[in-house]
Amino acid sequence: MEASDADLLQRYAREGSEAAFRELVQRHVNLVYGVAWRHLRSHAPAGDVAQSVFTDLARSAPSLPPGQPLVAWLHVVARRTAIDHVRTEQRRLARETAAAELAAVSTAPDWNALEPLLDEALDALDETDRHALLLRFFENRSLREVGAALGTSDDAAQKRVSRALEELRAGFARRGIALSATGLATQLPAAMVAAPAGLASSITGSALSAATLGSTTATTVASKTLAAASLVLAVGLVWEVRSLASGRRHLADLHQQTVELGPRLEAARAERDRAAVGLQAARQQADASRARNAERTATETALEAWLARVDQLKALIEAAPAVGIPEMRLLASGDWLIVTRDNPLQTEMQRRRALADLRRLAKAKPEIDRNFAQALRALARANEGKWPTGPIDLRPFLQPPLEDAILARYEFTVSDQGLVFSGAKAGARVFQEKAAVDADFDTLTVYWESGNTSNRPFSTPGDLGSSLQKAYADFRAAHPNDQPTGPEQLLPYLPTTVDPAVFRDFWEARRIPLAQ
Amino acid sequence: MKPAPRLLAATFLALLGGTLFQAWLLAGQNRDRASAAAQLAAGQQQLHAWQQERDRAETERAALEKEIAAAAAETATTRAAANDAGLTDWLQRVERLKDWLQQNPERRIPEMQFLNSNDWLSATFDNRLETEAQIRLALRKLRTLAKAKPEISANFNQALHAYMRAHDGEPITALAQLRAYLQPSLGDDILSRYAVVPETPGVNDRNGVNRDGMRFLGAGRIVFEERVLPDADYDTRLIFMEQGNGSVSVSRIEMAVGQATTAFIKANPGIAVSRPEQLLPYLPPAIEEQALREYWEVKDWK
Repeated sequence: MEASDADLLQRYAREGSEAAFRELVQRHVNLVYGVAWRHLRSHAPAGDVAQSVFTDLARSAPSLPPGQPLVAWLHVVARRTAIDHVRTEQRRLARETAAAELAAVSTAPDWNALEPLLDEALDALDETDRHALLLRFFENRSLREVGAALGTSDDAAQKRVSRALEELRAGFARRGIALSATGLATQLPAAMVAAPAGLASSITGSALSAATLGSTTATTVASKTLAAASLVLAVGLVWEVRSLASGRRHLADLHQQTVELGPRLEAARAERDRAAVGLQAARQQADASRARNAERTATETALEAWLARVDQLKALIEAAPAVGIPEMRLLASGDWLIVTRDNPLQTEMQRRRALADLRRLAKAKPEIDRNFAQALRALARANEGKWPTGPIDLRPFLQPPLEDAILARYEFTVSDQGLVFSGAKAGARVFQEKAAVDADFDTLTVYWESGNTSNRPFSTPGDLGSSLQKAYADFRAAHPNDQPTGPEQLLPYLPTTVDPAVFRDFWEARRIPLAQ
Repeated sequence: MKPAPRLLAATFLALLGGTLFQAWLLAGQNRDRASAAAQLAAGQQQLHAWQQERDRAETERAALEKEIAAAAAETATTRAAANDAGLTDWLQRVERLKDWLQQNPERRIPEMQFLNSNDWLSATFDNRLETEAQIRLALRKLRTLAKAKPEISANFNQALHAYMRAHDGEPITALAQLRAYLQPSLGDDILSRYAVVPETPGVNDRNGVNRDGMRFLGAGRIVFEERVLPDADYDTRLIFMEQGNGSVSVSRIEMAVGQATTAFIKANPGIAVSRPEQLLPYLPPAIEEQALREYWEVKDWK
């Protein structure tokens, strides 16, 4: 059984079957060519239109709706394409003018002149009628085939064809052309134009090529885009690969530099640490040096000041010889230093204290103190206990001998006080200084008959030393558990004859320690 | 699609995938490079910083060494300028004693922080510092001077009396009780050198008591005293009694020589002691002959 147009079209659309498409062209090329011929009256343009129509068919095949009568579609498309062609070439107007003039002068119209209007009249029919006429007269189908195509019986097809002819005739009549339905039935097959031999074959190839060309063009565009993109990608890829390689080298270089930097860092750190240790040591040395220098400077300054005080004291004695005693000739340089070490010699009391210290140190010299003690014992043994009359009696027993100026300062007398520790009592015979140079500060050295030596304040009633002793004793009596820590505490116990300001100076001067 | 376009598409996809993958790798590599570069830069910066630190330290060190050399030269110049050789020697003895103490810190007591220049001069002015005994004597003098400073002796004494006044005449039982009364306050290094002496009837509860070969003078019993003496033979011990001021004992060797002298004179009437050998038979066992001979050399020094 022969395949229907729909089947063929579907095979082509679905499978791209060239055979199916060729069969379709074979079947309908005359119809299409005929439509084109009627419009163009020229083989070459008609062939072009036919080719264009089938090319359209090839392109549109996949999108044609199922059930679309192909013959009707081809007719419509062929006519539209032909009209477009005519419009393009400005031929249609001339032909329509000629046809109108012909209709006006002839009652028996020339069919050849009416053919260009046939397709327009066919188009005016409804689709079923047009389909029936196209099948019956342009496809030269039997009434049975027409009925099969229309889905009706033979009789119904006959009736449809007849009615369609009548509609066609009426269409011509409305254009002023009088024709009979029978005449039309006779003339319509004549309107059927056979396409030139080989056209179908040519159209098939060209249409398929054109359709494929469209697809190929799209494919080519996409391919070119793809190719271009691929090229770009390839170039990019190459660039990336090169960059990666370069980056890898750079990275390796960086790593290498970092690795090489490690030992340099270690060395730099070690050098920094060594330098820091060296600096620390140098700082410590510098600090020690500065401290040492400061100490040295302080010591030198202190020594200079100390020696200046010694000079000051010596100058004092030189200016006022009465404050000196002849024993002071025995003083060594150390004695002068001892006396002036802590004594600033700034106040009169401080200077008096220093001079008293010098006198005490002088009297304590072995040449005086031990000499007197030994001479007294020797004198006692020689005189068998007889008490001498004057210091001159000691002279033979003094070793070394002492000058008369020294001896003249002493006397043999009777003590007015006892000696607590040895049990000597007041009234005992003693050898001692006659008078103090400064009763407030001087001590009295007493050589007892027993051979003992003692020292006590050389105080006389009313002087500062005695006043201090009395005030101290009174304070302790009033405050058995306390020691006076300042002169102010003793002021209430002083005789009114003592000037508090003088007493304060005296207190401070007595507090000066004597270096040992 | 025909084979060629498919191949093209596949190629495109492969290239795209490859490109993306390479881009991913490149991004990772860039991060690695940035990290490595940063690490390298940090290292170089550190290197530079350390080199700068080294340079600064060396520059400062050179300057300090120059300063030290200049200070030494200045000192030498100062000394050379001193016309009095005796004074120069004296100053040098002070420095020698300081050097000696620095090398023998166990002979130092914290109270020595209160010494002044005069004290150092005092300890050295008649001491040549040539023998061990001379050095010991000088150090004894320094320590005694230090303990006699008002910040120590008078401070302790006043604090003790202040405490007793505030506690119905009762003396302290622990040295820490003095803290609140010390003016100026004293550090633990000093306080730890002293300890309260428990009252022992017949031993330390009266004046003139002999203890550890030393004779203490004062009023009332001994409340606290120096705990340890750096030089047990030569040092005097600072003690504080219930009444009176802080008192300094005689040293053990002085005590021993005094007792031996008394014994010698008693056994040899009319004969003066002129040589250490004379005292040997009378010397307490605690004092060795060598110690006596060394001390004899300096016994009359002040």
